[in-house]
Amino acid sequence: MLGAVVPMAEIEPGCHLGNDFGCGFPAPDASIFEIEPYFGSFTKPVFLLLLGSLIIIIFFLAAFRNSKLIPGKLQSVGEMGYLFIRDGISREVIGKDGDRFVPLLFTLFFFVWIGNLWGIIPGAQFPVNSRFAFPVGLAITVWLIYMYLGMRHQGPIKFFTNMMFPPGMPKAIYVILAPIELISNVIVRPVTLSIRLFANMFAGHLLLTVFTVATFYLASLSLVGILGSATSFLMTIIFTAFEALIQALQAYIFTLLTAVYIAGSLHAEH
Amino acid sequence: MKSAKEPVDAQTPNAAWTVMNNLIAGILLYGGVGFLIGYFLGNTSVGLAVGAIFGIVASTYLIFFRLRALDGGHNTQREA
Repeated sequence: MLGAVVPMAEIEPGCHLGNDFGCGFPAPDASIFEIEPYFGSFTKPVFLLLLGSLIIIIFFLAAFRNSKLIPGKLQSVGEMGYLFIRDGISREVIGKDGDRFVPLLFTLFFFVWIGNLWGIIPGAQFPVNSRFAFPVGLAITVWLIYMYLGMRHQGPIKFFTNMMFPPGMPKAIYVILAPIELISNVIVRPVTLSIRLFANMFAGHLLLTVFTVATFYLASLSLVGILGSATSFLMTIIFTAFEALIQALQAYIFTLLTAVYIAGSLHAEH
Repeated sequence: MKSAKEPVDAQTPNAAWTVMNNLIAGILLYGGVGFLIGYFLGNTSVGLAVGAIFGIVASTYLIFFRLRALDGGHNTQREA
């Protein structure tokens, strides 16, 4: 099952510790993210993305369709997810009037999370967000939302001046610092938002692949082979658990920062 | 989970990433300005280096200023 991380053709049949064809460890590189499309430009990440969306839709439809006052098992889990987003992120960061953004944050969290989660699900084993276009699309959406909200709630010019001139600074310093604020809030924010998610998923997938390939490369009847292969296999398991943590954490941070940006657009800093 | 009781908690990751964003923005902006000045004076590499260092200093001051305000109990998110 774990071998599905790497298409078996990736590993040269000759490259193995046990035989002597003169080729070394086939270290996986960025090419493992280049996947042949099924047809047209319909690739595995696209398929996993659609499947993930479908799973979320079906799960929450099933959880909330027959809402009862005393929730069943499925409804309890669904409500737990909802309350986590509403109380843990939205009300904590935006406040009571953030309740109208809960559907957005809720969708964003579970969409990002299942996109990441595909990285450790056996058979799929590809985190959708390790392809840069997906985080970029999400970050552009977030950018459009908080720019629009800011211009609408603070006024199109006030929004930028509030952003550029945090109160209480010596006047002369503003000349130097205001442009930094503007660039960091308007340009750098969406860039770091997308790169953080992408790089975490990219690195995690690469790490898992390295140890999986090493498990196969080293597997042979020698001391180094047995010990090395077993260790690599153990590391694969450990890093899979670690990835599970990172994936949830990245989805959480993405949602949390979106909430913070929305909050910043709704109320100017005092 | 009581809502809006420890707002600083939720502010911590945001503050951390604001530091990052400000540093990047400062280096990019003043590195670029320095590069341009250097271009007209005939030495782009010195201009870029001086500009980037100036950018780091400026954004560090900005970060220092903002985090001090955050730490001073002036919570920006609390409802009026």
